[in-house]
Amino acid sequence: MPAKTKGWNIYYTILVLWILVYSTLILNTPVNPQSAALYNISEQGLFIIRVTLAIPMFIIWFAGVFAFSALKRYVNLIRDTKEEPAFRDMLKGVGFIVWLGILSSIISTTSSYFAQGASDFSWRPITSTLSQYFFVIPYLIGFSYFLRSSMRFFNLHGKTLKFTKKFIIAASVFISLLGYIFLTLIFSHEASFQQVGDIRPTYYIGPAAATLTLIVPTFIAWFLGIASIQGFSRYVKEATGIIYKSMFNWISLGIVFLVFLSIFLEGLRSIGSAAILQLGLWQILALIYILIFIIAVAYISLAIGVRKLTKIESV
Amino acid sequence: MVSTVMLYDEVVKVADDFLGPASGRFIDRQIRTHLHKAPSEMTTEDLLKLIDWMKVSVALLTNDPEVVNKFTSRLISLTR
Repeated sequence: MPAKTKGWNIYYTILVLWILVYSTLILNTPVNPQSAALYNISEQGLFIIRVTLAIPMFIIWFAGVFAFSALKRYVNLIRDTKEEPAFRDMLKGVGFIVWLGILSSIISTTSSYFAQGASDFSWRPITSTLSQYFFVIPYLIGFSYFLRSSMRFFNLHGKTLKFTKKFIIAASVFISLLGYIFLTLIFSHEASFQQVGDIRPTYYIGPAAATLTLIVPTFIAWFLGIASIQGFSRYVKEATGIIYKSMFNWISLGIVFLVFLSIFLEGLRSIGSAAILQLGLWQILALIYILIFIIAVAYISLAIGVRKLTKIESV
Repeated sequence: MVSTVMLYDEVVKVADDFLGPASGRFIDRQIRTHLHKAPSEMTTEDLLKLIDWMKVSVALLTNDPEVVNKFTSRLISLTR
């Protein structure tokens, strides 16, 4: 008889509380007139954009918490089975990405909130730097758990997941290319490490510290994410069960989307808003909406897969 | 006559081709819920009764009727 999972909806309660905090911060942070002038848009228009951007953000958060809750429920259902450690690692990975991701957004908004009233001392450098670390760390830890999860799944067949030289070379080339583009954009942009006119710096820490503690860990996270995708796809190939495989494919797909989109988002975020703004405001908004939608789809496909697997345990 | 333990193992083996790592738990639950027996006590007669239940359960897990038919026909072959 499957064990009932008590208290799983506590996560939604926490989420609603965080949404209230976030909404309060957003609604009470006045628009910076300099930013409005910089984007060539009215202060009211900028405020509306800020509020409308919060809505898809809440959808992402809900989708993330939905996937986390579904996975948590499934892990409780399969307690003491051979697959439990692998799914538990996946749960930890999703948990770090979802919950610390939400925290990162709240810290970032807190940064803007405190920046308004500060005259002699601004909180922005502290909160902005904290927010950047909170953006890198969840993916670094989350993808490490994904990789360990994929290795544990592979062990279920009595085999050890070993990466071929071909894969290591291909992943290294891919990350090196991305890394090169990423570093070129950061170091060629004037406002990356210093304030230029009204444009605030992307990084409030020096180039060496940013490279060592933010950029390199980001590359490591990418590698771990790509390696975990390879691990999960090899597990799906090796796994038995036509129905089980089709359900697990949803989970695998969700993780693929999550890894690649987080790579892209992480890149965009680290380049800095001023550099991205060269694209034009409406193009950027369209880009953000598309990315947010795809991330929500990633979480939802993960949740669909987990809920399908949960069904096997309950029919 | 196939021993009950051997029959159970064969049923799990068939289920493994469809439900993978979840097959053992699925079969155990079907036997306990519908036959009110310990899984190792299942007989060939029991399996015949259980197939109908399992067909309904598997149909809830997939929209492909061919998969359901394959699953049940392989289980039926174990009763011969």
